[in-house]
Amino acid sequence: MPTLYDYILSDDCYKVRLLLSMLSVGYETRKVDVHPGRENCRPAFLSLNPLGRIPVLVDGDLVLRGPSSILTYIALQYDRARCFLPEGAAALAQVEMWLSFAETELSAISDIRANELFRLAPATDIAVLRRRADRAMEVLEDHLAEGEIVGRRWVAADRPTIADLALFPPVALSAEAGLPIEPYPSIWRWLHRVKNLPGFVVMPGVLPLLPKVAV
Amino acid sequence: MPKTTDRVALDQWHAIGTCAHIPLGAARKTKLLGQDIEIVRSDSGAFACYELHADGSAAPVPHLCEMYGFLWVCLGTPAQPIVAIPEFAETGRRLILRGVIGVASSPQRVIENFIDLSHFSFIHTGTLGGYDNAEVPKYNVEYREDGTELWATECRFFQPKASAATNLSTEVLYDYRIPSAFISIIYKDSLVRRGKKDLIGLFLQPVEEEETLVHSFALVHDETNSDTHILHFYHEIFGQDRGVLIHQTPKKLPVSPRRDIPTLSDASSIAYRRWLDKSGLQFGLDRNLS
Amino acid sequence: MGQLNIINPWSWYAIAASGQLARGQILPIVLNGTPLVTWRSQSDKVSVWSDRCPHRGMRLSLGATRDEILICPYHGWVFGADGACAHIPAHPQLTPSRAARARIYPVTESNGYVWACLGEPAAPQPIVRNRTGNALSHVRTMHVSVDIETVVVALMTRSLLDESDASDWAGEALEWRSDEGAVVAHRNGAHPLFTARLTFPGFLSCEAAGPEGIVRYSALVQPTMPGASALHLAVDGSARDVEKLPVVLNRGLVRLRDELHSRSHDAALSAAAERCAALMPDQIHG
Repeated sequence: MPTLYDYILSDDCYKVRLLLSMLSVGYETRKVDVHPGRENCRPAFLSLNPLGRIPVLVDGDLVLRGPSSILTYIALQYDRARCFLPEGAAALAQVEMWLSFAETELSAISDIRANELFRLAPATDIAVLRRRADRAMEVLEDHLAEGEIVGRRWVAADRPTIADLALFPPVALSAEAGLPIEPYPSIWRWLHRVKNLPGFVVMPGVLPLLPKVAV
Repeated sequence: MPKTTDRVALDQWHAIGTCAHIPLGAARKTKLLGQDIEIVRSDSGAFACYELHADGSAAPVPHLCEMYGFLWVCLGTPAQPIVAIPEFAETGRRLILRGVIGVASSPQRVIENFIDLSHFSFIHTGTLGGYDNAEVPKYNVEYREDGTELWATECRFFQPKASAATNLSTEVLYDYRIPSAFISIIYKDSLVRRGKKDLIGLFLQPVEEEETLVHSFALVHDETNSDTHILHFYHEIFGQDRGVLIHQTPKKLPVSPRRDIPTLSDASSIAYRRWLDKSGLQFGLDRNLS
Repeated sequence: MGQLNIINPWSWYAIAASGQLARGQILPIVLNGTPLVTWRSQSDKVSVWSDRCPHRGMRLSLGATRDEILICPYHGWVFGADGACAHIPAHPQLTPSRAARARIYPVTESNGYVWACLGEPAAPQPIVRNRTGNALSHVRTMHVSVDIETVVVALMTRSLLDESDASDWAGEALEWRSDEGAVVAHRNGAHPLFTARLTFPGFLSCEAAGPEGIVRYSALVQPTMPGASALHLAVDGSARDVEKLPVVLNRGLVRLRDELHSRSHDAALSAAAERCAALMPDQIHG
């Protein structure tokens, strides 16, 4: 059974928790005291991930860091039906393209959010991060808007993939980074499509779909 | 925004961090009531605090105190002593310092959310409440210590998971204590030690009127879980609250009864707003009539 | 401030394409600085409310809808489609106070769009003078970080099919005239045919020569925040008339937005705005 080194407020960990839930994969959780303990910066954790970040997934002898590689591994190892990771060069590459977008562009949202939360001095100027975050949302909005025109409801394929799950957490939490959502109506609708997927779970800051309430 | 002129706010003690957060020989900058300040720790461990001014000068802040593992500062003249929490000196509980968390809202909005029960079923579903038991029974509101402290007592709520220590779905009793505008402490039944109380407290640092640093602690009975496990339970709860706080408008807390329609279970919030209104406090409050 | 940027409290403004607000869906929008929530009930009733729960100021757009109700996510307060709170979960036996109601705004649907008014509407329906008589087939709602006047004028001086870098942002090569209360910009002669017709408060219909013939598209403008606006782009006529036209138009719109955001054409667009303003009617109805 894999072990996830996890922190409840981490949006990167949430990417992995989403996929594990949607694939009904059992796993152990090892809670890491990121804040205030900064356990991820201490030698014991660094021997697991020298970059000092979570999530880390340990499965047998395999130790993986970085949400993209962890998502890819879980999808290949535990999803025999390949629901979340299509086959074929073009399809795979498109998933990869959006996984990469999540890492390089949406990380700006995560960084601003982390700064708002924990008030540790950010490595990059907040104004620079904000411009990158705004542009990333704009690019994603354009892509999803075109998708709505041509009938493609998910970012990288005709069905949800790990690319959607990698993009969802920072975008769903973008208000915590001070970003508005009203300029991005296609993103808004896509967020609700993801929330409606079987096995969807929330994290603090992501509101659940409310149940049938009797009036 | 410059330093506030609100004397009521200035004459209070405010927590600005934990003592352990500043190593020997180090310094940390922060902001309190619009004023940039710096805390300096000598090599021998003693703390000093300075107001930092735009011209580069630094004025020493005389009122600085260590208590409960936190550093407290008063930028004016303290009108009251720091809140008395004798439970910190008792044994038997685990102390969890929860780490500072920033919230882009007024400190009063944070307190009001902290003392509210009727959101448990919707925001803390599965832990502090559930959809099937959303009804909030009547509770008591009273003033203590000569009117300087507001209390909500005999609050009760059915909780699927009241703390990290338990999975026992049961009714839990709560008392809420608000000894000052920016501090609140929950006293709730421990389900591990019957008859004993767990404490969860917020010491808010009012940075700006719409920006708060939340310092918090838990003093809980728990014999099974690691510190991190308990910590994450509270981070989950507060993270869920924060997800609401950032979306409330206005960010400053309205005090006029014509704003924000209350219901019965808002008795403590109504009392809190009225109490704030009468205190003369301005900082963080929205005094518009509509 | 340009006249187009004056927002009328009696005008209808398009806020969403009807087809993009399905039954049971909620959408947050901003209209002239006012945060609003629009949603459609299961019986197809569309509502526009202030995006703020009257209880403790939480955003209603982050809640849920079911049947004919909207539920606030904070305390689960249930609001009926008339805006009144019908149920408070903390007190199931209580009849909620009549003061517990969402602030509602006039709303209507026509021409394939949901429209809202921030005050008392002067007309029962928005007046969309689409001279072709065709239905509008929605392509995309796009938000831009420039004011209404700038984006409208940019749409009047440049065809969305124009992929060239050099463009007449100032509209110098266009003939400008007023016509029955509308402002028309027209380019003919050696350049590809292009006509843009602006009626107020914010309906633009354009005709442009494309590789496969004349293309007609429309834009409905929505004031959002100071210095920002949204436009709802539609194909005039059935989208099946020209395959891939919606994609082509959307890409043209993306190019236009990127040009506007580069701020390289501000001076030229100001000049074009003056040409337009000189022809605008003194009074705007509808």
